[in-house]
Amino acid sequence: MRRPRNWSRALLLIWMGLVFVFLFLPILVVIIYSFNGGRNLYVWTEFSTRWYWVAVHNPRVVNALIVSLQAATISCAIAVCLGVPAGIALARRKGMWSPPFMVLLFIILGTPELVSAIGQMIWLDRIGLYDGLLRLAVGHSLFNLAVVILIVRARAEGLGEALEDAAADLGAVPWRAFMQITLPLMLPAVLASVLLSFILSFDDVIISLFVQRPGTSTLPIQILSSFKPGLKGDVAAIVVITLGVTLAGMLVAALMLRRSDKRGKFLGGALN
Amino acid sequence: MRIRIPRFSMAIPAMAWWAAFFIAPLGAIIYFSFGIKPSDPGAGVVDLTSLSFSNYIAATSEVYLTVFQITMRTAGLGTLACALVGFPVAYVLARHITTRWQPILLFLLVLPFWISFLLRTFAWRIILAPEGVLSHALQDIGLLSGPLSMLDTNSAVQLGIIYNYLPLMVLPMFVALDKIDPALIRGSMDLGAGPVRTFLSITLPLALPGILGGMVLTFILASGDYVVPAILGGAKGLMIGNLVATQILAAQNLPMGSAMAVILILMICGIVLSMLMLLMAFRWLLRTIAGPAVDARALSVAVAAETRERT
Amino acid sequence: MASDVRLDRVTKTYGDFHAVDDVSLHIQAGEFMSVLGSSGAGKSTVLKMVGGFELPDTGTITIGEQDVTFAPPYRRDVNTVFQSYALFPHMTVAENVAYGPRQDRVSRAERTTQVRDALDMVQLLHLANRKPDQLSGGQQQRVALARALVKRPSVLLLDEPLGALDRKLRQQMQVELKLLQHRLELTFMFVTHDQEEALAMSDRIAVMRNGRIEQIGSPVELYDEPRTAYVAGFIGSQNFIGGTIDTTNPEQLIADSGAVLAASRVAQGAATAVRAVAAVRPENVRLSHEKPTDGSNTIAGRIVTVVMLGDSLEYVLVTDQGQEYLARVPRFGDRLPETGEKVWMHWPRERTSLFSAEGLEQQEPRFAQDQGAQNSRAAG
Repeated sequence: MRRPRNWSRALLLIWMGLVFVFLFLPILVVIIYSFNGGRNLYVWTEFSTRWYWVAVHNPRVVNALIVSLQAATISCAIAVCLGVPAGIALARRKGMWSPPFMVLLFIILGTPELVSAIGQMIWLDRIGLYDGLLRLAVGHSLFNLAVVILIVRARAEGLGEALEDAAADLGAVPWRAFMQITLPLMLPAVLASVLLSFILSFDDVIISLFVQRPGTSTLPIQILSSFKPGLKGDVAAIVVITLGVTLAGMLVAALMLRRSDKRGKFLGGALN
Repeated sequence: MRIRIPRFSMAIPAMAWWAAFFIAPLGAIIYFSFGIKPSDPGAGVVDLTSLSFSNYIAATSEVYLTVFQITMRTAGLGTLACALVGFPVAYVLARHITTRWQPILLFLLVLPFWISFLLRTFAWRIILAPEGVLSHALQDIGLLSGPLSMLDTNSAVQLGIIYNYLPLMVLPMFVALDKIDPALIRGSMDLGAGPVRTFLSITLPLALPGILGGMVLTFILASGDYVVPAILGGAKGLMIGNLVATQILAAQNLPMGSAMAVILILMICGIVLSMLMLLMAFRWLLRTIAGPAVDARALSVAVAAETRERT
Repeated sequence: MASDVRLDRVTKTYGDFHAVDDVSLHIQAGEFMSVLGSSGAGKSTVLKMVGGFELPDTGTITIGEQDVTFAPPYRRDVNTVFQSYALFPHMTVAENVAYGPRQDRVSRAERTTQVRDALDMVQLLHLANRKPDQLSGGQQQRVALARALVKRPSVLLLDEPLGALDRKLRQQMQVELKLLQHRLELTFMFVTHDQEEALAMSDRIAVMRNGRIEQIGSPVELYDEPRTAYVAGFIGSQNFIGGTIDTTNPEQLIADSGAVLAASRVAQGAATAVRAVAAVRPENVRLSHEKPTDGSNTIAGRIVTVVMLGDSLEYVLVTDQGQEYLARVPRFGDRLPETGEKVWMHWPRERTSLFSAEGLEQQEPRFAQDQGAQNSRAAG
C-alpha cells in the first residue's frame, strides 16, 4: 500500500504563501521606492537617500511627528488610567452592570470611526475644548479605552482569583495583594494594551482629520495632505521612518513583555 | 467595619469618560442632523431653531443614494472577498501549522496592522501606477494593451479594501477554527465521514459564528472607510466617507454631514442584521440538505416510553 | 464479526523522538487487549495508528485480512472512544449516535432503530434529545461508547476512556465494558496508564515503555512473572532492594546493606547486570519481633507508620540505612507490631525475584503509586 500524499494541504500552504506575499508586497514596495532619487515617485531612476534628507529637514513634518507622539502619549495615559481599573472590575466584580457595559464597549468598537469623528468635532466645539493636542488625545482615547479594557479583562480572567486568595491566606491585606500579586501579573497585559493603543493613535487618520485644529496636524494628516500636490519621495521616506520607529518600539515592547512574562511565570510557579 | 461600595465603582471613570465623550457626541450628531446650515456664515455652524427632516430628504436624493449604494456594494464585496481569500489561510494556520510556527505566522499576519494604514494604501498607488513596474510588466507579457488604468477607479478602492481588511478577517476565523477540538474532526472521520463531509457537518457549523463575527467587523470598518477611497479612488471611486468629509470639512455643512452619518449607521445596522439572518438561513440550509439524523417521531415514542419507565 | 489486529514492526518518530519504536503486536479476534504504560510511553500513538489518525513511518498494520497501514480513518472498520469523548457539541445525543450510520447511507428508519438500540444498550435512551453539554461526564462517556458501537465495528479502540470519571463510576464502567465486550464478541484495544484497570479488564496486557513493548502477557503472568524490574514495579506494588548479584551464586543478591537475599526467580539479564534488585511484593512480607531462623530473607527496620487498609495493615518500615519498605499484613494472628518498634521483615525465597536494575529509575517513585503509603505521607 502506498503512503498517501496530502495534496490539499500542499495547495492550502501555497495559497497561504500567496496571501502573505500579497500582504507584504506593498510594504516592500514603499521601502524600496523611498530610496528612489527621481522627482516622480512612480518612476525608478536611481538609488538615493536624498528624500530622507529632505523629509527630516522639513519643519512641518518634524512638527507633525512631535504632535503625533504627544497626542498618542496623552491618549494612552488616559486609556490606561481609566481602562485598567475597569478591566479588572469586569473580571473580578461582575454584576448586573457588566453586560450593559460590555454592550457599550462593543458599540464603541463597532461604531464607524467616521461617525465617532463627526460627533467629536461637534461636541468638542460645543463644550469649548479648543486645545488642538487635547482634542486629538481625547478623540483617540475612546477607542483605545475599549481596547485596554478588553485586554486587561482577558488577562485578569486568565489569572483567576486563586492567587489573590492565596495572598490573602498568607496574610496580605487586599490592597497589598493587589499591589504585590495582581498588578505585577497584569503588567504584560497593560504593556501590550499601551503598545496597541499607542500605535492605533499614532496611525489614526479619520478622528485626527476631524478634530484637529490649525497647527496641530498629526503625521498621518501631514502625509495625507501632501498627496494632493503630487507624490514625492519625501512622503515615502517619512513613512519608512515611522515604520522603522514602530518596529523598534515593538521590539522593545516585545523584549519587555518577555522579561515581565518570565517574572510572571516565576511568581505563578512559586505560588502554585 | 466595611463601607459598602458598588461593585462597578472601579469602572465608573471609564463609564463617565465614555458618557462625556462618546454618548454625548452621538446625541449631538443626531440632534444636529435635524438642524440646517445657517445661511449667514457669522451665525455659527448650525441653526437649530426649526428642526426638520430636510437633511435626510436631501441625503437620500439620487446622487447620494448612488454613493451609498456603491459604498455598501464595495464594502459587501470586499468583506465577501476577504472571507473567501482569508478562510483557507485561517484554516491552514489552525490545522496544518505546527505549534512552533503558528505564533510566528500569526505575528506576520498582524504585522501589516502595525504599519501605517496610510502607508499600506499609498503603496498600492506605486504598484498600480500607469507608468509603474506592474503596468509595464503586464504590457510586456501582453495581458494589457495600454497602461494599467486601475488607479482612481472603484476597482482600486475595492482592492485596497480587501488588502487592508484581510488580516482583520483572518484573525477571528482563525480563532474560531482553532477552538474546535481536533478530536471532533478525528471523531467524525472515525465514524466514516470523509474530509468534505467532515468539513460541512462539523468544522463549518462550529466555525460559523466566528466567520460571521469577522465579516460583521470587516463590513463595519470598510463601509465607514475614508482613507482608501481618498487615496485610491479619486473622483470616480467615491465612498460615503468621502462625501461626509466633504460636506463637513469643505462645504462646512455640519447638519447635512450629521444626517449622512446617521444614515450610514442605520444602513450598517440593517446590513449586519441581515447578515445575522443569513447565518440562520445558512445553518438551516446545511441541516436541510443533510436531512434529519433520525426519525424524530419514532425516536420520541421510544424516549417517552423509556422516560415513563424510569419515573 | 470481530477481527484480529496485527502490528508488524511499526515505528513512528516525531523529529528525533521515537514515539513508537519497532512495535509488533497481535491482538486476537474477540480479545480484550490493554496497552499499558506511563505517559509518553507511546501507547496513544499506537492506538492512533490503528485508528488511522497517524501514519507509521515504517511497518504495517493489518485489521482482519486488510492492510490498513495508510488507509484514512473513514475507510477502516474500527471505531474509537476518545479520551475527551469528542462528542459533537452542536448535535443532540441521538444525532451524535446517528452520525456514523448516516455516513454509511443507512436509511433513516433503520438508523432510528440502530440509534434507539445503541442508546438503550448504554441505558441513555431517555436522554436522546439532550445536547452533550447537558450531560454528566459518565453520561457523555456512555454516549461516546454508543456512538462508537452503533456501527458494529470489528475492532473498538478505547483511548483512556475512563480517565475523567471518578473512582466509583470508573469501577462500575469497567465491569460494564467487560460485559459488553463479552456480549458483542468484539475485539477491544484499550489504552490506559492505570495498571489496576488493565489488570481488572484485560485478557492480555502489553506493557509499553519508551516506545517499545516491554512485555505482553495475561494479567496473572505479568503480576507473577514480570520479565523486567520495570514491569514488576509498574504492575502492583513492589519492594525493591538494591545490590549486586553474588558472583558465586547467581540466585543470590548481596544487598547494599550487606544482607544476603536468596531468590527463586532470576530474570533474564539480571545475572550479568552491574546493578541488580531483589523484588518482593508487600503482601508477601511478614513481620516478627525475633529474627527468623528458617533461612528466609530478612531485613531489619523500624516501623514509622501503619496504614489501615481494611482487611490488612500496611506497615512502612525504615532501615538503618534509610530505605523505606512496605509490608502488608493480615489483621488477625499474633500481636501486631506498632509504630516505633524495631522488627524484622521476612519473606521466603520463593517470593523473591532478581532483576537487572536498568529501567527502574524511570519509574515514578514507588510511594507516589502506592495508595496506602500516600495516605501515610499525608497523615505524617
